[in-house]
Formats: sequence, structure tokens, C-alpha cells
Amino acid sequence: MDMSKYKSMFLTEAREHLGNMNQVVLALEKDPGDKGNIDSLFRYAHSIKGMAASMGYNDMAELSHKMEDMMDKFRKGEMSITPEATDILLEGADALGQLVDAVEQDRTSDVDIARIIERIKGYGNQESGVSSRGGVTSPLLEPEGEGEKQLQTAAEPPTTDHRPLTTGFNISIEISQDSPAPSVRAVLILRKLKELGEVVSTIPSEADLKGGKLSGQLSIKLVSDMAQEKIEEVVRGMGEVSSLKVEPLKDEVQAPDFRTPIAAPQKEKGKSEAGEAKESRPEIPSIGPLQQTVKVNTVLLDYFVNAIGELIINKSRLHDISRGIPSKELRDGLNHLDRLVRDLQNQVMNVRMMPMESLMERFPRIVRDLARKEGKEVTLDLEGQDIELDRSIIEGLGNPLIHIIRNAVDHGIELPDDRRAAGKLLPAKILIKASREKDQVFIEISDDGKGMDPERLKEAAINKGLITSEQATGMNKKEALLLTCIAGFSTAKVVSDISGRGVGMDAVKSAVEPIGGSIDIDSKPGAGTRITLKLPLTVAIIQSLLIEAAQEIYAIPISRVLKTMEVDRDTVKTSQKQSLIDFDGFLIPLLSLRKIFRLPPSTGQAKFIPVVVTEVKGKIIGLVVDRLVGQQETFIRPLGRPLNKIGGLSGTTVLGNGRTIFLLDVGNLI
Amino acid sequence: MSYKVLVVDDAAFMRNMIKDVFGSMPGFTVIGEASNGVEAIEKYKELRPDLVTMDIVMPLKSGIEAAREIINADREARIIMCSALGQESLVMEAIDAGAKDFIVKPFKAEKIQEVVSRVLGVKA
Repeated sequence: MDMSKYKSMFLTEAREHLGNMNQVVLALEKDPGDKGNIDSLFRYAHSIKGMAASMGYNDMAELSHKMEDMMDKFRKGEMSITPEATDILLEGADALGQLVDAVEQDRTSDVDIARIIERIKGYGNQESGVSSRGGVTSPLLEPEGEGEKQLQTAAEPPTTDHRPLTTGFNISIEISQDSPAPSVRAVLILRKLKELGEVVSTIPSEADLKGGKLSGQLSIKLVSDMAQEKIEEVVRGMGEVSSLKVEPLKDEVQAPDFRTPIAAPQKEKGKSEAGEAKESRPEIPSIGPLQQTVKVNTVLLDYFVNAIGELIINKSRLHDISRGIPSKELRDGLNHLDRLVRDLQNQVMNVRMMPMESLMERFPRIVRDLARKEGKEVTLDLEGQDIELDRSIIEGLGNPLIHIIRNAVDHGIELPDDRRAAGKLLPAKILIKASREKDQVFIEISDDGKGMDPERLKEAAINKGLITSEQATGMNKKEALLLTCIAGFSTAKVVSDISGRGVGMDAVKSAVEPIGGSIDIDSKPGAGTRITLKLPLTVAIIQSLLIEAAQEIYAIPISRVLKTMEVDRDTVKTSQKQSLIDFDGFLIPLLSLRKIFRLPPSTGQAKFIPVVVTEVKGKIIGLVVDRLVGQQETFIRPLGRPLNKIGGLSGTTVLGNGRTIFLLDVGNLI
Repeated sequence: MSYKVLVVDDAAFMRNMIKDVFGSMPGFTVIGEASNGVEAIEKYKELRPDLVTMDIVMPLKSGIEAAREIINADREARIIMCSALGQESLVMEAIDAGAKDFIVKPFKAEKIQEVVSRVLGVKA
């Protein structure tokens, strides 16, 4: 069996649960009484434990097991959630995260689990001590010492500490040939096993079993604290078992099939509600009805996009060919093909969409930790978590956004005393807001910190030798603020201190621009900074403007085009050898694409010059081309080495006539 | 103390046979019989047996529906389904509804004993 397949499923799910765990812990820190969150917290730890144990990751299983115990006590109200408790839980979640990372990288982790478990235990003792003093039973009724002792033991049931460590078992069962209803027997055995522990997975799935589909062996992964012999005895007692093997799971043992849902099914819940009294047993995860969703390896999604890309290229090829053939049928067929391909493309793109939430959920924790470390008071507000973006873009956004957030907390937000002195409100605010406009998504990160002064940024850049003082004079505010994105600017420690910004903005830029995005910075000294990332919805298949220069066709992402114009040669002005044209009441410079690519200048002196208006490094320019060819859907393939080192180009696409052309990376043209 | 058993089957012959099996088992008393699903439910409420053997195909109300209703009213109900060969999916439905186990006709006395002791959690 291919282990790696299960491992990646495990990694994805474990991280999902850990992400949720972090979020919920933070929510509980604010509202420790939220019962729903406490329950969820318990479930996350519980799921991780089950998954880890069945994969044979014993450290992870043990730690999550202890955390689950702790959370169970919150659930039952035996312990209260204090800031110290949330610290421990976050530390535990971090350790689990490191263990997950170690699993991914096939190495052993040096996380000190024993220490965290000790902390959990220590907290338990200390908490139950507190509750025994302030507990329900009045100490007045009994002699002080004795009462305390009793409660102490009551608060700490022996089962917690002496319970044998939960282990995963791989159980293979063959139902005897003469069983009149083998799958029913299998379901009964499964039901019995659920009483012994947690059934993590079954092959065939429970749904298949219920559908009567049992051929040959039944494989069950069980997580239980029962002894192996006991499990064997119970299964044999179920009758009609012709062969049975119960083995504890170790590393490299067949992995469970995580596709069977681990969440507790509704049915089980209803049962315990209707059941007598209150069952204190945790919800038993079992296999519910077949899910409406499946997990798909993202490689497969990439493959779909590639296939559709090829389809689009082929389709435009057919269109090209059909131009010479006067056939209505052919045209109708092609038009139909257009619609089908577009439909398919939309659906596949939809599948690839991920909500911003998957990215944003990490931020509250990051802001909290950073703020704590710096001794600052910050609240983070998130908006637009449901805005969706292509997963490749979401993937590329994680680190850039963290850079920006880190800058905001480290350098933007003032210390509480400074804020008070400046008459500003506490806590400081950071807002991350995603919004969508047509096929573009805006992500805005704003803070009400000390902001940046464009003039001082210019000074710093001059001192660093990044720009000349002449260049500085010609810069508008926006361009000055974008200086922070120049590599080399950010490394200046002194600069980051005076500017309130700096670290890693060049990294942000180089992450955002290749995917067709752009950065905009606005800031007001004393009032705060707002950084806006403008991003395309998808990357692989985009609308492009085709243009021609020196007999070569190039594509420009439509998202980067502000306007196309045909400028009357007579209206072009010149200032200091620079050609300028009027655009919406401003004079913008004209730059020739031929010149940029060091191609021979055009010889024609046509009355109208085709111009593409775009924004480069915060500056609006007019790009002079030979001809505006038209707009087309293009399937972009990334450039391989060494072509990817060429500035100004970011990919290739194939036209209908089979010709391969370059996609211009407008932001890096000059 | 002996276990009280309710035997449900529309065939008198089957009821008698099952009664005989329980008669031969120490510690079991058949306290009632029913010949259809509706009757089975009434008898269950009235007699509160420790164990029910339930035929599946019966007039008025099937054994599956009867089992479901009984279990809905009493989650602790211990019902053993009695089916004919080839009724696997029906048995599955009943098990899904909460029946504890099943036996398939034609059954041997030992088979009934085995299933009964398993369901009651006692040694056969």
C-alpha cells in the first residue's frame, strides 16, 4: 500500500485540526465560558489523537491524548480556562504542529513532549486544588483537611493517570464462509468494537458494509486502551469469525483510510441526548453516511487546469483553421465547443477556489504572539474570510501577508505608553480585509500605528545609495512609499526604525507580482498605514491583451491594463527628452516596448500611436507598442530556468496558430 | 431470576420451536407470543421482556418496523431478528435500527443459545 498517500491525507487533516484548535483556543481566551468552543476543542484533540495513534505516531498521540484529557475537564467544568491554560494549550498545539512537520520531513522531532505533559499535569493539580477550596461542597460541613483530601481525589479520578496509553490496532477479520449474512455480522462486530474504543477507519467502509458489500476481509483500525487479548476475545465472541488478527499499529504499518469521516455522526448524538441521564462519555467518532464531498489531491487539480489550458489552445487553433472554411455546421460546432470549454473551465476553477479564511485563520495567533512579545496591545479584525481565490494564489500569499502583519505589529504599532502620550486609543487596531471586484481580489492590511513619512523614506533611500537625490525629487508620495519594496532597502535596520516599515517588503513584492498582482501602499505619519494587494482570481488561465512589437506578439494580463489608447502623434509633448501624453488630466511618460527590449526602433510614422496604459512601481506609464492585436483567453505556462531570470517576462502561452508567445511582467519591465 | 422472553413470529410452528429451545435453556421463560408487528409492540409494552425474538416478514407491521418502534420507546430493548436466508438487506435494516443480533432460519438450538448468550452478555 502506498503509505505516502495516506501520510499526506494525515498531514492535511492534522493541520486542519491544529489550525482550528489554535483559533478556538484564542476565542476561549476571550470568552472562556463558550461551551460550543470547549466541545470543539475537545473534538480536535480527540481527532488528532485517533489519527496519530492509528498512524503509529506515538508522541503525537500521547500529547494530544493528554491535551484531550485537559479539555475534557474543561468540558465537565472540573477545571476552568485561565490565561495559563490557554498558554499551555497553545504550547501543546505548537508542539503538535512541530511533530506534524517532523512527520512530513521524515525526521524525528526534538520537541520536549514530557515537559508539556508535565505542565498539563501541573495545571490539573493546581486547578483541582483551587476548585476544592472554592468547590460546591462547603468546607464548613467537614473538617478542613479531610474535606480537601476527599475532593482532591474526587477531582482527580485514578483513570486519568493510570489509564494505559491509547494504542492503535489493526484488526483483520474474516467472516466464516457459512455465515448467512456476513456483512450484517461485520456491522455487528464494528458496533461492538466502537464500544471498546474509537474506530478510525474500516475497509470496506461502514456504508459499503451496510449496503451488503463485504467480500473477503474486513479491516478495522481501532484506537483503544484495551489490551490486545481482550479485543481478540470480544471479536471472537461475536461469532461467525473464521480468522482474526489483532495487531498494534507501529510506524510503517498500513495506514488508515482517512477518507472515512472521523467526525461524530448526528445519529450518535441524538442517541445520547435521548438516552437516560447524561452520558459523560465523549462523543464516539464513527463512520456516518457517505459524505457529499471528497478530498482530492491538489496535483490532480493542477492537471485539470493544464488539460483545460491545452483544450483552450486547441480550440483557438480550430477557430483559426475554420476561418478558411465556409461551413455553418463547423461554426456552430465550434461555438458549442466554446461554451462547453468555458463551462468546464469555470467549474474546475471553482473547485480550485479556496476561501481566504484558510489563510486568515492563522493570523489572530500570529498577531497575539507578536504583540505579547513586543509588549503591545493590538486587536486584529478580519473581514471577507469568505472571499475565494485560486489555491495557488492562496498558497503564495501566506508568507507575504505574515511579513506585512509582522511589520505592522513590530514597527507600525506603538507601545501602549507612546499611544497614550499621542492621545491614541488602546488597544491598537489591525484590520485585514479581503474584497472582490470583478476578477480581482483586494487584500487590505491596515493599522492605526505611527505610519510612514515619504520624505524620510526618500532620505533613507538616498543614504543607502538606492536612488539619487534627483530621482527623489521627482517622486510622488506613492512612489516614495513603494521604496520600501526595493530589495536592500528593507535590510537597513536603522531605516526600519525610522520608517516603521521595512522588513521583507521586497519579499512581498516578489511574491505578489509574478502571479499578476500588485502592491499599493498608503500611509500617513502618525495615523497609520494601509497596504493593499491587488490580485487576480486565478493564475493559470487569464484574459490577456495581445500586442505586437517588432513582429513579435506579446501578452499582457488584462488585470494590469488600465486603458488602451491610440494617441495622436501631434498631442505628444516632450519634456527633458521624455515624451509625455495626457491621461485623465495627468501627464504620463511614454515608454517604447521596442526600446525596453532593445529592438530596432519602428520606422513608421503613423499618425496614431497605439499605447497601453499601465502602472509600474506606483507610476502610471504609457507603453508604446506597434499594434494592439486584441483580447484573448490565454493559458499561461511558467517559464523554466534559465528563462525565468529574464526581467519583464513571466510566462508563455500558445496562440491558436501554434505560435508560442511571452507574457509580459509589466511590473518589472523597467 | 430468569430472563423473560417474547417470541414474535407469524407462524405458530416457528413460535413453538423457539419456545422449545428456550424451554430447554435454564434461566429462560417465554412470557409472551405475538404473531404480527402490531401485537409485538403491544406485548412489549405490556410485558417488558428481557429479550425478543422477532421475525421479519409478518402481517400488519413488519418485524423491522416493530423493532424500530420498540427501540425508539426503549433504547435498552434487546431484540434478536429471525430471518430467512437471503434477507440480508432486511436484517441489515433491522440491525441499523438497533436490533442486537440475528439468527437465520432454519436454525439449530445451539445457534439460538449462542446468539442469546452473546446478546445478554452471559456465558452460553
